[in-house]
Amino acid sequence: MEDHQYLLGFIIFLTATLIFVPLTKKLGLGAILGYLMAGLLIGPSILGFFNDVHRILAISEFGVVLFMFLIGLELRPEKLRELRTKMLWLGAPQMLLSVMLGFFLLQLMSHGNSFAFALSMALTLSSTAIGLQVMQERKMAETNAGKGSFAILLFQDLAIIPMLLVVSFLGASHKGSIDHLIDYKSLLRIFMTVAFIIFLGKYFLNYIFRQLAATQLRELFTSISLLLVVGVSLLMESVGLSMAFGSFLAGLLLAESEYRFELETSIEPFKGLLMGLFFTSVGMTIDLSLIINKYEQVFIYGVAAFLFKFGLHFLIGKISGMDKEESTVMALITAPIGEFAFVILKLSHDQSLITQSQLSLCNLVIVSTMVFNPLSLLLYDRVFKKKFNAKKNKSGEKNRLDEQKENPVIVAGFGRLGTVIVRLLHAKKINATVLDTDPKQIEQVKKIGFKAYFGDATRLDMLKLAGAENAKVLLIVVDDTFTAEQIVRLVRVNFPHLKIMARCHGRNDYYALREAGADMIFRDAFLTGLTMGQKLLEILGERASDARKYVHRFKEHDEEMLEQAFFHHHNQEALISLAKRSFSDLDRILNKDEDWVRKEGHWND
Amino acid sequence: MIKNMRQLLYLFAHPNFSHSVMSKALLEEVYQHPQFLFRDLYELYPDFHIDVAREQQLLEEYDGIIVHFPLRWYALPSLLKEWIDVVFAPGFAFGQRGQKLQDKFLIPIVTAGGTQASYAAGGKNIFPISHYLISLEQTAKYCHMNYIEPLVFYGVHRLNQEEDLVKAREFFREELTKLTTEKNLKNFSTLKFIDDF
Repeated sequence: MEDHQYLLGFIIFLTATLIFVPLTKKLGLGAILGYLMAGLLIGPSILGFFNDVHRILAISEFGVVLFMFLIGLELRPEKLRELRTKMLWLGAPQMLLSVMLGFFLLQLMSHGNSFAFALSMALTLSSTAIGLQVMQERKMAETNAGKGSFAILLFQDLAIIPMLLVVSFLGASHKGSIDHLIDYKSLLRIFMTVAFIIFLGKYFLNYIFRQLAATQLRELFTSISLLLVVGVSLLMESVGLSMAFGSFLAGLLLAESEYRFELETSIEPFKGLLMGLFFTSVGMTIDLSLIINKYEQVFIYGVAAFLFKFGLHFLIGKISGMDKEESTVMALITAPIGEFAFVILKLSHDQSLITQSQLSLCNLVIVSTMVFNPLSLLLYDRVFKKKFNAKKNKSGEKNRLDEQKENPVIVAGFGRLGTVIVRLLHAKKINATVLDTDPKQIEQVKKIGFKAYFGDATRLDMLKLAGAENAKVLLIVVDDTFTAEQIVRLVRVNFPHLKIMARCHGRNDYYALREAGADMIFRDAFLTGLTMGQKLLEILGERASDARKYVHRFKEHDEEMLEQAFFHHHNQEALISLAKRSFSDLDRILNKDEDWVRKEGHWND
Repeated sequence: MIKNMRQLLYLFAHPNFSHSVMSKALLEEVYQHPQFLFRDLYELYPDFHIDVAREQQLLEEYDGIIVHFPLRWYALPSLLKEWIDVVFAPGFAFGQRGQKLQDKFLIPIVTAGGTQASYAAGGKNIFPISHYLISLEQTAKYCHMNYIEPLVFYGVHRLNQEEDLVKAREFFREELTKLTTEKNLKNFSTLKFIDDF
């Protein structure tokens, strides 16, 4: 029975989100509000399907952890450097100013020191979940505003554990000793753990991945991916670092791995579902009766907190050199108070720094700022965006530059042919993203200094990860035509802008790929045959320039005939008569010169 | 090899050598002269991808170049033009650091379809051959080379007797010997053509 109840809960959750999320999305409110509304409806306040909200919240927080892992995976070294600078110039000032100002204001409102400090720390945090979700929905991870927001969020994630320590300290201060909070042993433990994870990531994981990839069973890869993220996160938490930071670190370590794309596609669906569940469970925590009783207070405090954070972050953005629009967007993204504030407040309550009624009110205020986020973004879109339109063009250009940084070429298959092409591109300093499904082959090319990712190009999500949306050309040089054809069909439908160059082995392959929609098809044996034939003619006494001419004519004629044959390739008889005609044409075409000479006479020169 | 003999690079550029008559005959004479390094450009570079370093190295080693070609639309065959374009590079042929071609000979040998009379005012082609080769001449002078007036075989379109070819070869044999032995090549330039056969 127990099992069935879980399934029922799952059905309710999925149904509610499937009703609300498309609705709010359609209204331009974003997905988050939809999840929150779904949560409110099925939570204890209204329908009461779920009562153990905090347990669900704890599970679903894992969505954020997975999200941070994925972000770590996508961070290239040059972006990491940029992120570090941004954390210093945006993250640190945000934290300091926000805590100090909040503390000062709360004291003015005649609250006690400990209370003001605990609350100001909770207020300082921004919602990583909302921030990441909004950035993903609006595709702004590469913009200045997106990068700035992420820097602030990551800095806060690092600060959470010290904050929890401070809260414990504030609570424990009457009791005396603080030695047990900060001691060298725990610092050493943290250091050892991080070192262990780095060692694991650098030297061990790739080996495991390779063994699993060789089995060609995708579900094993999904298992190891999840095991890795959950394991690292728990390990980090056990020594007192945040899970989100732990998984971010794990992601970073694997950012250079050949199995990066496969990891991403394995984790991605779990992340999406858990993030949804997380927002839904936040919705469930909304205490409707309390809102009805104290709606004025909730509303006023909520607006005040939101405006306070928005104003401060906008200023920090401006001072750090962002333009008006970028600062606005960044401030809007980071204005909602974060989910970790719940944790800090809970601990503050446990340490009797705040009362139960204060806790409930604060929680409601936090949720209200989360609700204000999509609303304010909608307002921003409707009202202010027009004003910034002139500047939009500028940032549009920036985006285009960013796109150029992405690889223009994707190569599916890293066999001999793929290697030749990639070497050529490498010499021209053109980057290509290379996918192959054979771990041995990946290992092989690694030895000569080339990098391929383990990944199946017949999968849409894999192609997306490889950058199919921004790339210009897809080279399909996989061995079997059936796979090649699958890729062509998939790409033709989903990425019509992508030029497809495909290799094929023979005429039937050609017909198949041509029909599937490949733009350019190269017959490997044909081209090798022509090159050998040209040399052969030279050896047999033709002048090099003549041999070249004949081979070119032969090639043109053959390609033309092939194209004609393609239109009849279902009709065997037409094909045969075409072949006969083509054969007799060939002699005339190759010896065009002699014809002309016979008619017009010699030049003799 | 005899000392004091001029060592010359013999560049031959013919886009349709298989169908030529005169050039084939003339080359029979060229093959007899060991002091020429014979280079058939259309055979060496059918793809027009010229080995510049190799060509420049040879130019430095030899005393000069003979360029032998059929006139194509009153100009050099395209591969020969390409050869000059890429081999006479700045830093090698001209410019501050390279004047490697200084005082080297540039000697054109040209086969033309029209008669000598046609290459004159009132003729079909109006201007003399030297007029059409003016860019070659100026290129040589720009590189401080020693430009020699071209040796031209006119009227090869009308060529139809075996003895014409024999005559041409005899004449050519003497001229080639002069090219390598004559102290002053100015003499060569006075014998710059044989007339219609």
